[in-house]
Amino acid sequence: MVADVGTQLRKGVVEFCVLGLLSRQAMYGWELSERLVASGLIASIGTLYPMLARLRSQGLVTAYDEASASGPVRKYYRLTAQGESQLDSFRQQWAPFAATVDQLVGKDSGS
Amino acid sequence: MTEQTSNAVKTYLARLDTALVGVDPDVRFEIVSGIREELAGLDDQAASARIAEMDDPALIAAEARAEMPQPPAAPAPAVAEPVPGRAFSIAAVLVLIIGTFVVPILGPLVGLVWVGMAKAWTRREKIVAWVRPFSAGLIVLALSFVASLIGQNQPSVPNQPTLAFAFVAQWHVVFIVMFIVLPIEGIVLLVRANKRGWRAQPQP
Repeated sequence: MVADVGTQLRKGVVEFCVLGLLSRQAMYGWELSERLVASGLIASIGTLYPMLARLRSQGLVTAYDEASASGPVRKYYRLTAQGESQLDSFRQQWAPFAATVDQLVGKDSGS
Repeated sequence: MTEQTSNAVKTYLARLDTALVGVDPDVRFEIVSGIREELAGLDDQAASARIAEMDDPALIAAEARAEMPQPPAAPAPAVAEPVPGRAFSIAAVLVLIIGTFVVPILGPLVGLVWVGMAKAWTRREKIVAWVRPFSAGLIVLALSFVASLIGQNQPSVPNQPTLAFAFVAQWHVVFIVMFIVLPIEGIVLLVRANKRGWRAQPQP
């Protein structure tokens, strides 16, 4: 169980992190993937697309093609109104939830 | 405008597409398209350098598979469990059927004892198997006794040889009935057990 904590925590929040990133600006797949990989939330782009498919099927995210002046036509992802609402709900719950877990788990005695 | 796709890109995308076999087709297409977008417009050298930074197609495919909803676990293939005491149950029912004709009284008695010990029938079936032939015999005996009583009330002179004959005839009828009841009982037990795979309770 202990070895799996990181994976479980990431799985629990990564979709909301995607919603959070997309709430600031529309992003294309690779761009999103690089941000999430750099943050240690996903291992590779292989994790991202099934997640984006889920978010799209739930109506939280939508996609559109956009041609860039310098680069190729890319598929961008952005939040829907439902996605915004879901993210707001998560934001409201996250702080008290994290505070409660902090309180229950306590501080690392080794640090 | 037609863009030239470098060989390195073609190879990488082909490997990726192959590695993604079995992944949801939409997701597979999105992954390949997403990476194609990233590599589009790069010359061979730049594409090779970019690909070198990318993950191995096998890893990407493994991650994609891990993210896909897991199909419900298939039920474990039914393993044919050995039927406990099948041969003994068959022997018991055959002794009951054949024994009735070959070794009257002793044959069916052994057959019934073995049926009682076998695992192919429920407790209730075993009790019925014992009770049925005896009940049939008693009923036949009672009927013939009643018939003989009615016969005695007739205005005729009773004589001893006739009564003795009637007594023998009553038991004879009981034996004949046993020759019918016991084999039929054996066949019923055989058919029931065979339908259930020679188990007292049918397999789910």
